[in-house]
Amino acid sequence: MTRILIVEDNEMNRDMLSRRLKRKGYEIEVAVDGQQGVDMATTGMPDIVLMDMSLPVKDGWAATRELRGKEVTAGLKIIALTAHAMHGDRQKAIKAGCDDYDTKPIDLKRLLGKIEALL
Amino acid sequence: MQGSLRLCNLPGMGIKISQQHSRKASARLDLLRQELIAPILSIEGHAVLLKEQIADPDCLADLKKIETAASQTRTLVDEMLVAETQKREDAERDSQRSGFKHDLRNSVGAISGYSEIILEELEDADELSEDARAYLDNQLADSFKLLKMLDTLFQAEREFGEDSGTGLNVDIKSVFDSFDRSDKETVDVISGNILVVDDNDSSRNLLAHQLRRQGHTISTASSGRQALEMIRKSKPDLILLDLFMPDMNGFDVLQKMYTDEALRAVPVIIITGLNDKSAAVKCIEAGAFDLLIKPVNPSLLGARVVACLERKAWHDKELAYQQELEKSYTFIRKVFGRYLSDEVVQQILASDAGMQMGGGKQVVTIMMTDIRGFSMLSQELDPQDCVKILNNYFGVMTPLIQKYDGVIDEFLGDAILAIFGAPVVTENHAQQAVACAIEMQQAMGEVNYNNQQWGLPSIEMGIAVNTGEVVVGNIGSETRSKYGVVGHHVNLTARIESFTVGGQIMASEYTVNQLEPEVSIAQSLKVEAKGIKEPVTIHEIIGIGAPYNLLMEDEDLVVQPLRRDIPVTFRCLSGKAIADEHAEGVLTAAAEGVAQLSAVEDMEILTNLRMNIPGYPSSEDDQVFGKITSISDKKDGQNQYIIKLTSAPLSARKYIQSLIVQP
Repeated sequence: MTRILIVEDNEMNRDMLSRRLKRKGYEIEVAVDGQQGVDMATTGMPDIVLMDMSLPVKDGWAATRELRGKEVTAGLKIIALTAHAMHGDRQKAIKAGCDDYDTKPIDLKRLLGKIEALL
Repeated sequence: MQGSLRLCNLPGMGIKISQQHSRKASARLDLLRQELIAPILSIEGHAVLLKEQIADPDCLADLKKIETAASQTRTLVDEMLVAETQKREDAERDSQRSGFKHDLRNSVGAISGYSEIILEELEDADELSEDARAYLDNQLADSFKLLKMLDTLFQAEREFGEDSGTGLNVDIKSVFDSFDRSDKETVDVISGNILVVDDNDSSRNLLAHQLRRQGHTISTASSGRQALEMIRKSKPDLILLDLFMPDMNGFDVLQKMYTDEALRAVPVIIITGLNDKSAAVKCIEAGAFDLLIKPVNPSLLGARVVACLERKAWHDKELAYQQELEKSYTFIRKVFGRYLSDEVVQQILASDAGMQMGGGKQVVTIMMTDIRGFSMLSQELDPQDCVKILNNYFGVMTPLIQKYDGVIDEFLGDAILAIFGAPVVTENHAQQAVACAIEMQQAMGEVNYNNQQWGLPSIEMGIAVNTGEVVVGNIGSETRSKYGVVGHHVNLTARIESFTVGGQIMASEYTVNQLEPEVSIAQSLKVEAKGIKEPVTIHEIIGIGAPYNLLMEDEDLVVQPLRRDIPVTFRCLSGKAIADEHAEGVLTAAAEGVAQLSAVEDMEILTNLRMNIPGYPSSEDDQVFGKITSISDKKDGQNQYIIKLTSAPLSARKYIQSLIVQP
């Protein structure tokens, strides 16, 4: 079963995303800040990390860079999620080492397409 | 009221406008807020409806989350807009906007996300009712709409969305730009009489205090009943209404208030705590202008109150304008009578130039119609039947005249006087009148069909059409005034009318010269008329070309010989005065309404005759009037005249008819 780690501080977003992905048959783990995200990704080695970019403790950019910098987690598939939807966000996310990028609110079909493309 | 109908600029009632702060900015802010709040209100409304459709506790919990998210969204929108009205450094502004954008996307995302989750789960459990699906779809659509607006607002990268318009009716950039400029502009600030209704002393006093500081005049009520009394007595410009009060809650006050027509225009802003959301939505549905959540942010309160007062001021103005308009409408109706089409009334109201009520010279086309021999007919008929015939006739003709933009100036007995080309000035009044006349003649079939159904005699109409300069205007006294025409062209029209026989249309050369379409003319004659030196040429019109394409059916009036000649004595009448000469002749042939007269006298075409049929009828009153409509070759030294019977007693008509040899 494909395992997905959701790193998201917003409770509703976390709730929605995890429930909807579970319904689609994925195994879901959740982290609520960037540091917890790095820790859980390192220990759990999920197939996909859905990383919110504006996170407390350690933001998504830093968390991604940290994961990429460690040998074990350098190859993790990371999709950046952001509600900022700013011009240039996409480039910034790719540059920070994300494999893909999507905006919030989540369009589930679009996100599923991106997940499947990376698997 | 008479004369000018120009509408004056009417101020709002108790609302004062003075030049101080930014009105434009607040008005734009208000517009923008309305745009953004509308989908949230709709989402909240649908959430209330959904509660009745959903039994599953998990789904109900998700619905609660939607409500929370909607409320968050509303608060964020208000906070964001308040922030936009405040002066900030560029860097601070950018970071604030970015924060609002992030939070708004998340909260709107929760609305759409949980709506989708509920949809999916109900569908899987096979518990999705049609209504619930519709409500959820609406919530989704509203949240997407809102998201699109927000994207536009923040000029976000829309990488994935199609760019199909912003969904906003407000030019947002100009709204935001106007905030940056606002402190440089001198603009208006609005103040009004506001009633604050709240049972809680401290919150009532706080609101009153805040609003007084902003320059408004405040009265307060501490209960719903007291509020209603005060509203009825003093009609405030705006009411701030607490939703929860012990004696009568805000919703009841609102409902009671809005059953009173006079109070319906008074705007109400509902003040509520966070947890009475569904009741607040009910109030909005019941007509409240807006709702504010406690604790009320003072700048937000100020902006909302001003926006609301401004709207009320406009509403008052509009209402006064409407009343003025209604007065004008009534005035026009009074002056023109009830025979003016709504369209013409609208045109008069819409045009300044068309409303020259004082009187002026204008070229118009005048139409006069007359029922042939009606005065004689009216003596024979019951008054009721007479009225029945006339009402039937006017009833058929009135809409036709209105159809061609004619204005019926008067019904004179059995005659109609109509004007084309005034009071609303038109270019094509001559041809409109001619086409109208033809259609009116054609409609006589309908008129007479009705008469036959009622066992009443058939009637015939002659129509005269003339074009010329006349004085048009509002003629009369203060109490009885009427739009009318005066001038020798009116008299000429009446004169032309006297030359027509039933079924005929005679138009003066002045009219015919102005016709653009081709016309079919059966015959042309020169006639003399009082007040006009040269004889006037008049034409018998039987058809008019495109765009009307109307042709009168040929009257198949071939006279049939009579079984025996009818001896008559006759007098030539000049106009309607009876000349003294006396002559003898015989009627040798006839058709319905027509007789052939054989006589030695030389007479001209269109001469009017009065005939006596010796032995029949005996009474002086029962005379037969006719007009020479054509002259055929002499027979046995006798002139042969075709006489159209213009006025004849029924019995005389029947007598002549009875002697016709049936072919």
